[in-house]
Amino acid sequence: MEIDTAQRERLLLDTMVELADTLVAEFDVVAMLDLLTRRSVQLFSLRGAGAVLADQHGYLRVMACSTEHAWLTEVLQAQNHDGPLLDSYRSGEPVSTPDLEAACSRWPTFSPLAIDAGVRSVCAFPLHLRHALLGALGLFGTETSTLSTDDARWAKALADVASISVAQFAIDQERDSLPACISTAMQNRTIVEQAQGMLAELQSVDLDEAFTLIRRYAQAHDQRLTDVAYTIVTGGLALPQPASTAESAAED
Amino acid sequence: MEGPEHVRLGAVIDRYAFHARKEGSLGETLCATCVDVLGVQGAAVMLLAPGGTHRTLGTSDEVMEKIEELQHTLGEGPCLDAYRHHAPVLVADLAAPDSASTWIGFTPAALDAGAGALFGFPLHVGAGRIGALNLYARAAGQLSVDQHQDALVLADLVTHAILALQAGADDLVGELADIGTHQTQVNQATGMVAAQLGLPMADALGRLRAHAYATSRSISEVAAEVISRRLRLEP
Repeated sequence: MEIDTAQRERLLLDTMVELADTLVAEFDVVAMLDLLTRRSVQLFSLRGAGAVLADQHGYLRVMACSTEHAWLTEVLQAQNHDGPLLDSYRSGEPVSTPDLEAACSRWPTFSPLAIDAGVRSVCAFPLHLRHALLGALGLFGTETSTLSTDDARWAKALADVASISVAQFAIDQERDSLPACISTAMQNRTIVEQAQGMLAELQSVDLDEAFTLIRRYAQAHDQRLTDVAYTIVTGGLALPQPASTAESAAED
Repeated sequence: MEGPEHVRLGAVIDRYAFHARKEGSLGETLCATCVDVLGVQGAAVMLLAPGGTHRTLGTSDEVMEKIEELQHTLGEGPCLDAYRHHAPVLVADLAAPDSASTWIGFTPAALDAGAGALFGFPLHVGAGRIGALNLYARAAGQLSVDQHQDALVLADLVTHAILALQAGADDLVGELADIGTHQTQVNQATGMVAAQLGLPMADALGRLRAHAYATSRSISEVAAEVISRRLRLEP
């Protein structure tokens, strides 16, 4: 999974451009945050990354996971009790812990869950716009270390661009306000999760593979992730059996 | 759930609990809660099914009753559009020309009935759609940002109240306080149950809830078991 410096710089730039590209017809907040978390794992060699947004009730809702395995979902959902993403969301500031073992008393719900999952360090960056607090991005590392100064700046820049994209998209939707736009994004994420469960059952794959199938189909057919998911849950699309996708090793 | 951010949902649930203590059907209680929280003149809850059948679960007053009846007979209106398009339909001024051209039959009759502004919000959990929440104000005017946020909270609350009651919940207030947690796993499990039993999403979520009530566990515990394939619901 290690990439060299030149590849990495290229990937950083590509990621910036893709995150900011809200004008394409298939722009989708869910897919944009999915890209943000998956690229973060590649760029910063992490155990996992996740993004949460605050819903209309004030709960932090899981919007994207670099992997759809249960440990990451649980670690992100724990932020409704305590954790670095919650702190970062509330304060609007980055929160970083190089050694999670030392932070057990600070986050009594989050820390044991994360440590059990093999996470040793964590950095969280706010997703926000001036005074509007939207959510947070969490980067989970396997080593007791923190991001280098440069990496932390890059990660913050990616989180900022993602935040601006959400706001820009809300403006592009004209009469829709930011809360309405986020509410729609959450419904879309819900549809993707329902589709994941459905595919996992129908094709006997795990939830992570199910998500990959949906994503690959959307990319291959130039469709929005949430549109593909909606077609699946309403019974209008049966994806091909996963045998063919297992061979295509190229992970973008 | 602790934490200062959950104030909005908590406040809405408190108002619901207040109205639930009075005599009245679920529909009446939900409508009274919406009118109370939002400060609009009226609310109605419309249940719809993909086949086109629909019924009104509750209305808060005679104007709203008339508006529901119009949408029912004419087959058009903002509430129906909110359901069909999965998105809120906000008509700040019903007398403006574009609402007359959007709903040719409905608009003049709704104005006659006494509505100046109409707001329709879909009642849904992802792809599981159950109906729409309809709100009216006598005077034209947009919902404030705060009202809009509250209306989204209320639409969610109404959706979950209906689904929970259909599944046989007895502690509705306790159920509602839990709607923000463990959503990812509940949604994924809902998708799995829908595939296992060949059900629409809203019904699959109902089955998941009913199983939780029957076994005295939380829906998130049941969802975790379904996801890890330790539990399979039987038809």
